[in-house]
Amino acid sequence: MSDPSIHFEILDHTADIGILVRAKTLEGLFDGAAQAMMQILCPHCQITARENHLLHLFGEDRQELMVNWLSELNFLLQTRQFLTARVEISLLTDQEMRVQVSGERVNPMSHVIRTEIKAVTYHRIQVHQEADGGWRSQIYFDV
Amino acid sequence: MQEDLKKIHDFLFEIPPSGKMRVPARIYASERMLPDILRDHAAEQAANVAWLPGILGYSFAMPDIHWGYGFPIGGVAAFDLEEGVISPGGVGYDINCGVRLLRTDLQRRDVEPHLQKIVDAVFRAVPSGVGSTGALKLSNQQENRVLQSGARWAVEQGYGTVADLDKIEENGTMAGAEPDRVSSHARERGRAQLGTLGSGNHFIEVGVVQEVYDPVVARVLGLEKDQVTVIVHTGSRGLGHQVCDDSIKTMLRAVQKYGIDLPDRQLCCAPIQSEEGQNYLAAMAAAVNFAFANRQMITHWTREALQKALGISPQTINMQVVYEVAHNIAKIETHEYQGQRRRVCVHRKGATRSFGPHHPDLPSDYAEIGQPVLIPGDMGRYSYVLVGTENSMSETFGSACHGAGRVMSRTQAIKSARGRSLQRELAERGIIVRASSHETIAEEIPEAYKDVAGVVDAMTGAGIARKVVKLRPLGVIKG
Repeated sequence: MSDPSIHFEILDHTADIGILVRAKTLEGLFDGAAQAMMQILCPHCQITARENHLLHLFGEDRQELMVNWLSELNFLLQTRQFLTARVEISLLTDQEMRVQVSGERVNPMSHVIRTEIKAVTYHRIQVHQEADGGWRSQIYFDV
Repeated sequence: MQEDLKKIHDFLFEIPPSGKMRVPARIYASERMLPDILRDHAAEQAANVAWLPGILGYSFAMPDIHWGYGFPIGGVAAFDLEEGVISPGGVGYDINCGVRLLRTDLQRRDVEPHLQKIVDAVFRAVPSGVGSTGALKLSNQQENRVLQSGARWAVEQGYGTVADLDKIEENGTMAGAEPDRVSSHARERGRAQLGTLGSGNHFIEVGVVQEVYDPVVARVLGLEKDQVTVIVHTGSRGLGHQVCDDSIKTMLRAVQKYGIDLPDRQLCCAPIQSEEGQNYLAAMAAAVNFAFANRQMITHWTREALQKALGISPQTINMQVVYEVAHNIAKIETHEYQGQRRRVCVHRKGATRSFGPHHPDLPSDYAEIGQPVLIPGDMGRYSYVLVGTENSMSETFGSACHGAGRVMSRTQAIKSARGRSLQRELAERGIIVRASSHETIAEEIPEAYKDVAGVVDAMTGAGIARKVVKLRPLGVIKG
């Protein structure tokens, strides 16, 4: 997660939280979305890559793939207490993603999980390429 | 949108059909509440719901309407069983999020000197906070029984008594649940979370009856001034969230398959009678039962915690369920519509059932008064108990509001709380608050919410419900 072309911000809405991500590549966009989500879940946490999970995900289109990707990371946190530190994408199309995520289990001494994300939603979702060739995504979470 | 609004009466406004709206949208609110409602696009969302096939009458919005996903929070819509659709977005992610009210034989003076002890005891007894997990680790088989039987399962396991079930919507067990329709992901998310409060706006509140508006109805509910009460607000935890998430994926395909035209992807749906529609209803009912069991277990531990903290017997405390309502649910119900009795599917998202007197689904001792409608406010002010009316049956398919609704984002609330000792401020007002983190208290500061009194006044002004009592918090456990 050190691609300097990735930028994200947290969108603050009355009842919910969203993210706005920009990156040079689609891979960077998916990586950045994961970073932004971790920032909501565990702000300023130092997460070390101690264990890996291989994920193979599908979607009808880029938007659905993005929702499925972030939903899977949320699932790993909720059921395995796994926080994502690093993302290595080996395949990414509009409909399919193969990725290795590295991270560690929540350590109550050093990680404070701030937010419980119920779901990644399709509300006002955007995953698209901009005129300058860069990528942009907006995603809202039900919290 | 403001210029399109037609005033029907002081507490009801209509958005006439335009574009692909099949019916008008109707918003219950006072004129003073309208600017806030219009500002966050919630009215537009109510109009979007009117696009859905088979919608009957109106797309309704209750006075606590605010921006949701697809349907607004505070949205109510009924659908014809043959022509209509079912939409997971019309139920929400937290399936069967709901509120239970308990009454006790204790008076305010009995608990006030021991409040800190009581709050600490309940906080220890009920797992709460982000990602909270319970003491119970369910096997697959046990989880199936929870999903099928809901609160009845919990009572069979020794959590509470059979008498509790009488006073729960659906008696705590929603029929038609099929555990097989719940994905392995959803089961896994739910497995460790049964018997947990969760986080966000979920809470347990020890309170007191502050004001009685209708002594006759209050007496039937077993409520009187200065009596100690307990409110439990939580839902189906990760299991329900995942059932909704899974169903949305299915419904996105169904929308294409059945050629349903939608203004917002999050409104995705399927015909009620389709395989996708029936599967969702079966999975939703399972999640509904999970939430019923969850609140039943939390009630049991809260009872034990209060008894222990005060050193009194179950007979002395006599903590009984007044009622429990779901406020994120879809149900097949019989309603009178255009002079005919019809089976319809009512979506209530951030809205409460509010059946009027003599409805066959009411507990027999509430037949004369109507169904209790429980409206929690923020942790610093008050909550209300209302009852449903005949008007609610004829106007809103037996539905009313569910709460206050936020006015500040979480970040705004944290900023506004910076440098303040919220717990001390609340303690000065006689309210002891405990949460797993300071941020939770900051996010949930009273001023982050609308004044629930305005919401309740709009609802009672429209004749959809009647005020019975106002409750005031004494001790609050936030998730």
